[in-house]
Amino acid sequence: MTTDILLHDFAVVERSGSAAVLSVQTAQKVRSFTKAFQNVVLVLLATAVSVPLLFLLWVVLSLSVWRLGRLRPYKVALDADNYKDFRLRFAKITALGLTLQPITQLDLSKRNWVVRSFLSQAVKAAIILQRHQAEMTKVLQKLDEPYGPISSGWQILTSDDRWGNRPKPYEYLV
Amino acid sequence: MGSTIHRFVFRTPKRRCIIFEGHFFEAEQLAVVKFYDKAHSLSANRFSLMNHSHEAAQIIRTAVEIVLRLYADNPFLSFAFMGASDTSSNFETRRFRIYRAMLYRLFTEQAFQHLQNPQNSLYIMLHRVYCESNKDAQANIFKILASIYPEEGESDE
Repeated sequence: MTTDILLHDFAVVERSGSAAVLSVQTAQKVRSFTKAFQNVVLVLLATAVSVPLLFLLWVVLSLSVWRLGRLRPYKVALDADNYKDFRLRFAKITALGLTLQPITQLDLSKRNWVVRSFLSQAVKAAIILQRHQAEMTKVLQKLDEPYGPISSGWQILTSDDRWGNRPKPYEYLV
Repeated sequence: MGSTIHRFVFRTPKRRCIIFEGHFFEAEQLAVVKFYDKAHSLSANRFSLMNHSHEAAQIIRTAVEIVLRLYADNPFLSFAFMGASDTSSNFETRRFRIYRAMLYRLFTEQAFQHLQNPQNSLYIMLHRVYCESNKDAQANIFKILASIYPEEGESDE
């Protein structure tokens, strides 16, 4: 009897051990399935939120670049009153020009379409600003062209020199 | 090349009487500004003589104000200055350096093109709009300056 009980117990224990293993295995499977299911939900959620945001960002960026082009900043004019402002803007855009150069030389063909769509806007903006800087440079260089043949001994004082040496606290009189 | 002379008389803080002459060449739209001490007015070298009052900067600043006055009356004028020498050499005289320092900094590139002739201490501000619309303007201005201030040898000042 004891043996029967023992055997019975052993079988029960063995059966319950197998069941335990089985239940643990099942629980693990369920857990990993739930995790995977949660990841998929998360991914779907992230996609549902980020894709419209990215699209919106791309739209805003494209509109800004389009507006920058519409402003036609490369059509520059030097007026009687804007010389100082013109010079200050030229200094800023020249400083910016150093960072624009690598952007205009980006090879977009090797990028995926998402990155390419954003980078192409940056490249367009950089090209517009570079053209603006080139036009401003032309206008300033024209200031140093003589109005006729200059006799020997005469030198034109270049606008760059004069701008660089101006006393900044003082305003121009004319 | 006829000119009209505008005379301005000022008294300095040290009670020196300074006479400014603005020689206005209407045909060429050029004004040449000179000054001398009234006490030296009968001298042929009146533009070069010094009164030792050490008021050069104030006097030359007054010359700049006269330029502004003439410019307000005629907005197409070009201006010329000569830094008269108090020694035998005309090369970058003291007055020329003061003129250059002031005019260099107070008048923009947009309105005037600035030229200098350090050998003869001459400084010109060419009016851009007038010179762009008149091809011979610069050449005429140089001719007048050559007649007033010969480039070699003697100088009128």
